[in-house]
Formats: sequence, C-alpha cells, structure tokens
Amino acid sequence: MKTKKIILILALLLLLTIPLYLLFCGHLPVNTTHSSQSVAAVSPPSEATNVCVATKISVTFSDAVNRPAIEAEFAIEPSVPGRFYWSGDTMTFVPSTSLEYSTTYTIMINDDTWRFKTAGEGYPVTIIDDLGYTIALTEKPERISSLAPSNTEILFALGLEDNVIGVTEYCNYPSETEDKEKIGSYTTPNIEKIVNLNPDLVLAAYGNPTGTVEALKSFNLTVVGLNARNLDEILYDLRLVGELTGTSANASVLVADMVQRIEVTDERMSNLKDEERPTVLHIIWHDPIWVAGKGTFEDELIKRSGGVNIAPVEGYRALSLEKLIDLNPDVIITPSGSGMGCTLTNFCYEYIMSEPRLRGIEAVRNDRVEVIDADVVCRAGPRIVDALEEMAKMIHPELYW
Amino acid sequence: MTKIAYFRKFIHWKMVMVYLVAILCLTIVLTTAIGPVYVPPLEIVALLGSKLQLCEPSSIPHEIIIFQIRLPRIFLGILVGLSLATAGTALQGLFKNPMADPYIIGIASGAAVGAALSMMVLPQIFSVYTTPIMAFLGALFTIFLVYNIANVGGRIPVDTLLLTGIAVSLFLGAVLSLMMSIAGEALHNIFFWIMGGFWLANWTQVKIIVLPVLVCFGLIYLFAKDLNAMLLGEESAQTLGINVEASKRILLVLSAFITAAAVSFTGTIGFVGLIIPHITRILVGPDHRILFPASALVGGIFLVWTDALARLLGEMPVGILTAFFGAPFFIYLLRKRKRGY
Repeated sequence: MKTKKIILILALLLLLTIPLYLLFCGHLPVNTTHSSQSVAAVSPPSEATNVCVATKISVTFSDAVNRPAIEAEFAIEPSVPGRFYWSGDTMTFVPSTSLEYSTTYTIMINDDTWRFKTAGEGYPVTIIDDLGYTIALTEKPERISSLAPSNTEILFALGLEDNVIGVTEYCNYPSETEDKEKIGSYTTPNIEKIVNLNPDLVLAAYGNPTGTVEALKSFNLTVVGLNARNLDEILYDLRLVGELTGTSANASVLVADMVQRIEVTDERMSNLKDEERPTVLHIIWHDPIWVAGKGTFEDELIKRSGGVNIAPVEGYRALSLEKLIDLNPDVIITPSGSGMGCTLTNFCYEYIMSEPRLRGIEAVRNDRVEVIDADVVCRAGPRIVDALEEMAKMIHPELYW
Repeated sequence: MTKIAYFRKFIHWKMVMVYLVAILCLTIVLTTAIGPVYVPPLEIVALLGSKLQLCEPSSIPHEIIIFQIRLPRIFLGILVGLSLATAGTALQGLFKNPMADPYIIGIASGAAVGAALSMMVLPQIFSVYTTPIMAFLGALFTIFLVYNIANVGGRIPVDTLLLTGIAVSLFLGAVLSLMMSIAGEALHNIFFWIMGGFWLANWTQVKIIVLPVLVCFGLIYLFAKDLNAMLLGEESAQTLGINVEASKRILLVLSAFITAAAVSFTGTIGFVGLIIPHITRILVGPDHRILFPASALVGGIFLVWTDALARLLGEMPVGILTAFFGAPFFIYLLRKRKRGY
C-alpha cells in the first residue's frame, strides 16, 4: 500500500517535470566553458563539388562551445567577408557576397579542415537550401511556383514574373500576382494544385505546413525551401534564388541597392549616443499582447533603426498588460490590419490607443504609437529595406526632418 | 434525523463557509501581490492608502497595475470560477452523472463558434464587445437548439438531453474546426479564445457580468432542495411534491445563462466546471444546500490562483493550467477518499 502510494506520487512528480522542463529549458544558460570543439556536421559537406556560389557555411558542434572563440578560429580560404549566426549548437556563416565561380574553398576551425568546390556559371549547380536539403539543378527552371508571399516578392523583384506560374492566396504584391494561378494559402498549400501546375521549381518556405516539402519531393518536384531569419539571410536568399533561376545579374543589382540603402540607415544611426536611442516595443497582437522579442526580424530592424527593443523575451511571446506598463516604451510599433492580412481596422493600434490603462505610458502620451505595413515588415523579401526605412523614420523622426 | 444532528450539521456548514470565505479573502490579498511586475507588499498597502485619500500614490504605473489590471482580473476570475462551478454542480445533480459539466450540453462549442464567427466574418459591429456578445448568443442558441431537440412531448428525458448535447457539441466542434482551417489570419485569435484567459480583464467586464452571474447563482441556489430530492430519482422527487419537469427546465436555462455569461469575456476555460464540484463534494458532502455556495467559492479561489500563476508564466492560457494543476489534485483526493461519486 505504502509503496503504491510512493509510486503514485513519483509518477505525478514525473508528469509535473515535463511542462516545467518545457517552460524553462529555453532559458537555461548555455555552457560556454568548453574551448575545444568537436564538429558533428558541416554544410556544404566535405569534398562537395558544383556548390552554388550563393551558399551559407554551417557547422554543427556535438556539444556546447565557446562561441566567440569558435568565431575567431573560423577561417575560409580564399577569404570571404560575412557574419556569424548561431542557433543552438549550429553556427552559420553567411557570406556578404557570393563566392567565386569554379573555385576550391577551404574551411578551417582549429584542426578541422574541409574543402568544397563551387560550380561554374550556369548549370548544373548544387544548392543546400535553408531547410537543409541538397538539391541539384541541371537546367534553368522556367515554370516556378511560389508557396509564400515573400518568395513571390523575391521572384518578381528578380524579373521572373513570366516564369511564375503559381502563387498563394496571400500573395498580394506586386499587383501582377492577381493574374497568377492560386495554389492555396501559405499555411494550407494544395499539393494537388501544385502538382497539376507541373512546375520545374517550387519555392517553399519554412512556414509551410510540416510535410509539405517532403510530399512535393515525393512527386519528383524540385523543391527549394527558404528560411531567412535576418537581413543578411534575406540578401543571401535573393542571391541564391538569382543563381537558381539564372538571374544572378539582376540579383546582384538588387542586393547592391539594398545593401546601399541599409548602409545609409546604419550611417544615419551610427552617431547616436545611448541616451538618444528610444526604447521600442513591437506589438504584433493585442489579445493577448504578443511582442517581437530578441532574435526576430523586428528586433533587428529596431536595432538598425536606432532603437532599443525592450521586449524581455526571446522570439514571439505573450506579454502581460502590467509588464507592458512597467516597461513603459518610448515608441510602440504595431502592424497594420489584423497583423497578417489587410483589413480596414488597425486592431492593435486601436486597442492601444483606446485602452485607458495605457494612457500613462510614454508612447501613448507622446503619440508615438506607430502603424507599420504588416505585409512589408513580416515578409523576408526585398521590401524589408522599405520596412527598415519606415521604422527608422518612426523611431527617429528628427533625423528625417 | 434528529434536531440536534441537524443543528450540528448546520454549524459544520457554517464553519465550512467561514473558512472558505476567509481563504477567498486571503487569496485576493495574496494574488494581488503576484505578477510579472514586482510591487512590494508595503507599496500595495501605501497605494491602498492613496486610494482612500490618506496619502499620495507612490507610483502611477504601479497604481494602474494593482487597481486597473490585477484587481479586475482577480474579481473576474472569482466570478467566472463561481459561474462554472455552480453550473457544473447544477448539471451534475440534474443529470445524476459525474461526467456532466457546463460544456456538455454544447455551451462551449456554441460559444466558440459564435466567437469565431465574430472574428472571421462579422465586422466589429459592437466594437470590442462583438466577440463577447456573439459568444453569449452562440451559447444561448446552442442550448435552445439542444433543449428543443431533446424535448419529447413536453418532457425532457435526461439521457436524451445528454446525448443531444454531445451530438450537437460534436457537430459544432466540426464547424469550429472547419472555420479554423479556413480562418487564415484570424486563426490565432480563435485559438487563444478557445484556450481562455484573463489577459484583458477590466472593471467594465466585471461590472457587466457581476449582476447576471450573482442573480443566476441566487436563483440556482433556490433549487438546492429540489436537486437533493431529484438525486433520489425523478419519481421520488415527484412524489415529494416537486415539479420535476419545471425545475429541470429552469435549472437548465439558468446554468446555460450563467456559463454563457462567464465564457463570453474569457473564452472557454475548461476543467473548473467538471472537477470543482467533485472536489467540493469530497470536502463537504453531496447536500446541494452547502454544495452550491462551497463549490462557487472553491471555483473562484481555484481560478484566481491559476490565473496568478498564468500571469507569472508569461501569460499562459489559464485553461491549460486549470487542468494541469487541478487534475493531479483531483486524482489525489479521489485516491485518498476512495469514495465513489
């Protein structure tokens, strides 16, 4: 009887630990005491050939490592400028330019060395997409179906409007997308319709439902998945799609223009002192209040726009009303409409302006609750630079007259 | 039952009520100090003083947090907990079925479909109150439908009612799933509404539901003795001079109304209406005269604490926590007492 009771209690405690683990595992500090590393996987793989010149280099370590030390030890020969991004134990080096055609690159981290050879101009070309799949293309794709609004915008910006044969119901920019065949929505793409269009390239996105890419691949379709998590990766994706679709010249013009505009904004904000950087909160939904925390697009845009994102969370998370009052941001940025589509009412903005309990916070008192075009700010496409400039004007109106 | 035994029981009930009211008061005081923003207890006392014009408020944001955010949340929590527990008790007694809860006759799915409809199709005709109003109407419409389907020649057989409720619930559940699958951009709204929460609770919401909820509670309480008699079986109750059909009908409508009022602002918070009556029954026994007030208080206390925890855990939907902490506690009580329903 007693043992039974103890077992029961233990079982209940065990059950309790699961959600506690789920709640707190995200917040555990990463052990950074290791200085020696062990590389578990690399991409592009060692001795790979025909690698696309638009490629990211990612290294997965088998255990937690000292990030700055690894970044310092990382070397690529011939050298390429770029930035490091981390996600768990995986480090991704995103080059800020394309690599050279038909060149052997050597990568070194301490004693680990591997090399790969880039493809020549044109086809065949092997790419590793943002979802980790390796895809080989033998000829220029002519019939392209997009599974996300951001992908559609990228394809149109590269001048491929005649090659795009399918878009999603959410694709509303540019207006020419109206005439394109709809393959369902971004969250519920219709496999049948896509297969029926017989595309020779499907441009998927991370947000498509799990299994979509596998399902399409099982019909022998060429699927490339994009998942840009920051401005560098958006630029990289533009170059990648350029290489894939034989529009690399357009891509480099577009990327150069975007880089130039980003630099102008960076330049403008570079002389700001810390006290001149207002605290900003990007509220994406109000019932409950959801904010864009660290590591989100919005976070990077706020930083680059000369603001300080004071959301005390990682990723997109709910925030209490009382915490919002306590944070007391100088500027609040809200998405237009319902946050994802175009409705006439700007729900978040209306809520924040009409909530009597928020009247005391700085942003409301000084009329600095702003509305930004939701489609522009949340799509990882070429218009992200428009969002950046828009946001910079909202956070630092004094720098823009 | 002798007079003395009855008197003892009465004293016992009185003590139970005194304890529960004391716990509720303590709950209000303690949970006021709980939240993601730390406000020192002494400052809360000082803020209370400033409300009574005794001193100047020390901090305006903190004053808003305590009096405009936490207190309305707590009072809305008490009212919703009270409503769900009362409706649950009434329906479990009415159906003589331990599985019955306020949602079993389709109130939750009806309210959810109403709310989803308001989020997807209807323009915001009543501004922020569109969703609560639609949820309320959805719940009432569902109960009207179930009631009329189950009505056989002026009588409402309990099992027919239960089965009709389940069938209509399942049907509306499918309607809701259909709406969610095509909702697209409104999906997150519907999703959060279904899980339920006190994110945006304010005094206006408390003021709107306090009167209907308390009046319904009072009216349901009047049927405590009838429910006691009906536990012996409908025929026995009939012979004791109770108009069973009329009582059933009125209790059903009142339970539906009180539940609809509760879920309209906060979404369908599960578990409270099912388990709280059982927990209270284990604590005070099956007599509805004490069961109603006691389970109302236990429901309120329970929901206020889970909501306090919810706001500490980054605004987790409270419906997750109610089941999460209530279910193990209920299992514990069940094991300890080893007593049936």
